[in-house]
Amino acid sequence: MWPFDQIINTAANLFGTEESVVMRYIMAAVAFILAIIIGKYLDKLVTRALLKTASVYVAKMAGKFFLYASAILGIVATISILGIDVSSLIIASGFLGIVIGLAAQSSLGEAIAGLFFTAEGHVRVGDLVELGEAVGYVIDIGFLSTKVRTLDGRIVRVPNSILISSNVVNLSRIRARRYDIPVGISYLSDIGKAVEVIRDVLERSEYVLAEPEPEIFVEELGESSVNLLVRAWIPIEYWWEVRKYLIKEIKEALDRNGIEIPFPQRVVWLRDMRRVEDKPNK
Amino acid sequence: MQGFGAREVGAVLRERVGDYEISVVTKENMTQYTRSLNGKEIVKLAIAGRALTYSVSPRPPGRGRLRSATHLMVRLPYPLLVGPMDSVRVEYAVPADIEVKVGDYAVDWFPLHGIKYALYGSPERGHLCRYLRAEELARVGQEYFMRFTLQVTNSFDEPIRVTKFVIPINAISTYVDTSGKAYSDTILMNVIDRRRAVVRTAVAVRYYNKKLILVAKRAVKTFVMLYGY
Repeated sequence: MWPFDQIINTAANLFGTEESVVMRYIMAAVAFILAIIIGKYLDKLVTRALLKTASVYVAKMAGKFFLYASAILGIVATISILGIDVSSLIIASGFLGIVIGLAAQSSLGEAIAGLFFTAEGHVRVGDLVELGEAVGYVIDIGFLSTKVRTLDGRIVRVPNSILISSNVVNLSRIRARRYDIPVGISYLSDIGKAVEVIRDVLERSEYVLAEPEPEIFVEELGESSVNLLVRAWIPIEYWWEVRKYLIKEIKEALDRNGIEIPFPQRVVWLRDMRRVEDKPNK
Repeated sequence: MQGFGAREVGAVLRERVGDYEISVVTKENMTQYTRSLNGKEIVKLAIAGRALTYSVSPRPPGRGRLRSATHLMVRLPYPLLVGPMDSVRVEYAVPADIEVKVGDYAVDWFPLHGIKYALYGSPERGHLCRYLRAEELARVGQEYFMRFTLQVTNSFDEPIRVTKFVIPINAISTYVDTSGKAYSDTILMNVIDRRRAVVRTAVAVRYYNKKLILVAKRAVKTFVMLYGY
């Protein structure tokens, strides 16, 4: 006789029951343990995979979801092996699921949006992002919301459902970004000279990229000025820094070279100049 | 302008290196190092001890303050047109970065005429590069330039026009000869098709009949230019 059969026989004698019943208990225990082992394996696997893209919190939560789901399946399998009718239990848990789902509809929506947002991998913790008006670093991607620390130090909580449905510009994924500066010069100023002066400022600026070459051109003939547009490419990590001084430097260089940046003005022509001039002074 | 090499400090040493003015002043038990641009002090350092020597060495162009700059982009003074299965070898010079040593200490490292950067490729997949303009060898002065040979081979079945090359920033070594002239590794560029060229470095000594002393060794690497040349 095999040792396993002996153990079953001894256990059956000990509990005063049949060998098949003992066998069923063992099968149930094995099913449960197996479910837990698989769950733990999935937990580790999913957590490790998500840690590359998502925050620690989301990765751990997603891992735990698989662990608990596996454990629930294990319990259902165990009960089923033990011969207990699970259909009523499943119906009851189905109702419970519906009730919880209705009560936590918005939160679940956010959580699912969070999962999709994370799975998409467009944004990671530490990235510099632009969300509408707010620009800042992502400090946490949670199940319900994502937290962004703006450049002026505020912490903005953005619900994941908004993130999934709106334009999120990831500024960390690009090496360089273009900066457009409109510059209006007087109609009396020499456009060629102004372009030369601006080009010289861009040439001297360390972080204005030599390639793609900066562009300076007349964009429109405005009401009170000839409007030039300056387009310069800047490495993303210095984009905000360069914004601070480039406009000032262009203005100062234009001033030094006698190129006027006019304020809005309107030339008024009177319809009948002679009548105004002939009018005797009182 | 004295070029690369070591000199005696004496009491006061002043010299122009590129756009900058360097002064080394020795006092009783200390040495003061200053680098100025247009009269404005940029670097000021006091070094313990009285330094007797001061040296200016060439260094391969570095990334400067932009840490994400990983490559060098060198724009040629004029395009090189190379026919199918043909090859051309041209000598150029680029401004070297400068390393200053006072006594035993490396005290300063700076580019000769300011730094410019460029983007090679697209903003999301390209490389940020330190940007240099190569000069014709005949047109540069003796001091502070680094000479190199560019060899372009066209393995493509159409004529190609080369206006620039890109190479990893840590792929170039620097040498000096006994007269103080600086040399960098030779650049071998093999054009494969319309958009791709394999660029690699070769030890410069093989291409010059001179005794070259290695001053900065970098890892030799091969780079595939993917976005045109």
